[in-house]
Amino acid sequence: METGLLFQLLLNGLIVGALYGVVAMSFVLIYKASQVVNFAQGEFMLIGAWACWWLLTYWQLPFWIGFPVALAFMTVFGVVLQVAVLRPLIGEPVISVIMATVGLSIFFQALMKWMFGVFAQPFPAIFPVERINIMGLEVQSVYLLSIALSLVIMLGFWWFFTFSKHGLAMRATAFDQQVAQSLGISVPQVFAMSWAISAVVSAVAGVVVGVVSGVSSGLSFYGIKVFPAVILGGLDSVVGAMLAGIIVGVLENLAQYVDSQWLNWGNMTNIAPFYALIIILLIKPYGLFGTKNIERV
Amino acid sequence: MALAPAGEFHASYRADMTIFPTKNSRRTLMLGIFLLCFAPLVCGRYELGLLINIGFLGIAALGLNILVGFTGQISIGHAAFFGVGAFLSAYLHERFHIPVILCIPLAGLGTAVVGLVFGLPAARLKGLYLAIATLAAQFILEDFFARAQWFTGGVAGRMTEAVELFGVRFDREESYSYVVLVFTIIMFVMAANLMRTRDGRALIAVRDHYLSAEVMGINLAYHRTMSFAISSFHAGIGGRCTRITCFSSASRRSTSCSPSSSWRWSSLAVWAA
Repeated sequence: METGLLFQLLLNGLIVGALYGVVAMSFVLIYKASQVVNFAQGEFMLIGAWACWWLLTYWQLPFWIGFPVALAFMTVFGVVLQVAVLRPLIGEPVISVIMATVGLSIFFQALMKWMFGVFAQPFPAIFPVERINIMGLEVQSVYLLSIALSLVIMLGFWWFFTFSKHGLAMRATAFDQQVAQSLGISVPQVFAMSWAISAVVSAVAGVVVGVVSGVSSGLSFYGIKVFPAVILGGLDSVVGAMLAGIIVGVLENLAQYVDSQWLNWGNMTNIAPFYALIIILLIKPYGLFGTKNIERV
Repeated sequence: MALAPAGEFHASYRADMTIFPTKNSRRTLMLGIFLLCFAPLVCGRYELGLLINIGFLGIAALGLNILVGFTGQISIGHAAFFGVGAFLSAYLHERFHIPVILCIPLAGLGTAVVGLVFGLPAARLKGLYLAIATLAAQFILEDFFARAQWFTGGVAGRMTEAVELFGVRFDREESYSYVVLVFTIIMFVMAANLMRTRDGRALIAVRDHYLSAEVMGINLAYHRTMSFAISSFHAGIGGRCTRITCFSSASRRSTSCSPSSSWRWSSLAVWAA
């Protein structure tokens, strides 16, 4: 038993989990607003990270310019994607929409490999200090940034959905599209906005992960790991997604610890969340905070 | 004309449940199968390989169609079941020396059991939640394939023997295409007949309106998981067929399962539907 390692892993779990939570929130945002399960969420992260990387290395922009420009690009990207691909699919069966987003995921992954190659590319150094020592635990300064960013994003979401006009319009649309429309809310606009916000928020997470471990197509696996989180939290709960993201992050690091100490199976980090997913679905299909679907004939 | 006239004019249940709407449609199909029997004499290696591909992809897509098209459940982890069928048949042959021709249905049954296990959530879930559960099945099985060296032969893959029946080895494209043809026909006939049985019609009822189906006394959980099992059975058989021709060296072929191919199958089924 190594307590030091355990704590290090738990801390890692918290940090990575916060990132999962952020991506899960953006996933839930799309699902809530437009009832689309987005299998291309990981590719949003990937595209955002590559865009930022490209601005920083090719154009030699400083981070504080390149990052916002990349986010602005992602806003446009999200809107264009929604209008061009998802809007024509409104009213089609669920499986068609799912296959469309799966197709998007495969397409963008191939596109990114084609444009930027298959090798992981490191980000140029952003912080003067690589690591910070907190109470004997080594923490990368980027991780601190990611925690801070996650908190800011969460607070932003909370403010957006509680106070801002657009956020309230979005909630109204999620509640009942027809009623929202009759109250003068432009539903297509809400859809486009939700995709734009989701793309931007995922891109932030993508950049953070990219800064830590380099940008490569492996990044998009985060988008798949988001599924255990959203299922645990409930498909349509933003708060649940955040909490469950952290739980999944801690869980996978715990699994890795158990694995490295006793089991030696390997690869538990990546697979444990999926075992958890199946178990959760068997016990509590609608997750911790998801709306129970009551159906009447 | 091979086509039925517009509109439904069935006067009896028997006429309603027939597979072939007209006599000519049956004759056309028979003729098609008859002509396919001569394909090895006419076609080259490459075309035969394509035909074999069409055969086993057809079987797998048929399985997916039973699940997605007839029961209305979404599976995006079907390639994993495909892989289970392939590895299982190779493993059965190598470990227990069961004749390959028996291994194929056995692998199908084994895959059905695996499908049943992963289909268990289907007893309670539907729609998106189920789709995500099958996604988990995909990753868990893939991890298992990578981990279980004794089962899959690790990275190198497992060699599969050619089908042997009555002293004849079906190890070349020319002869193997017959094996695939026979299995394709069997599977399609089975599926067509399934949809005429009580259980098959129950599946359709579950898809169309599951609440009404339940009110009519159809056991939802049972039929949903059953459709998973049947579908995996097809996938397993299809998987077994593909692996033999994976790398066309004469008799020993290697088995490997590609990660994200399940999404290709799903798109296949959407096409079919």
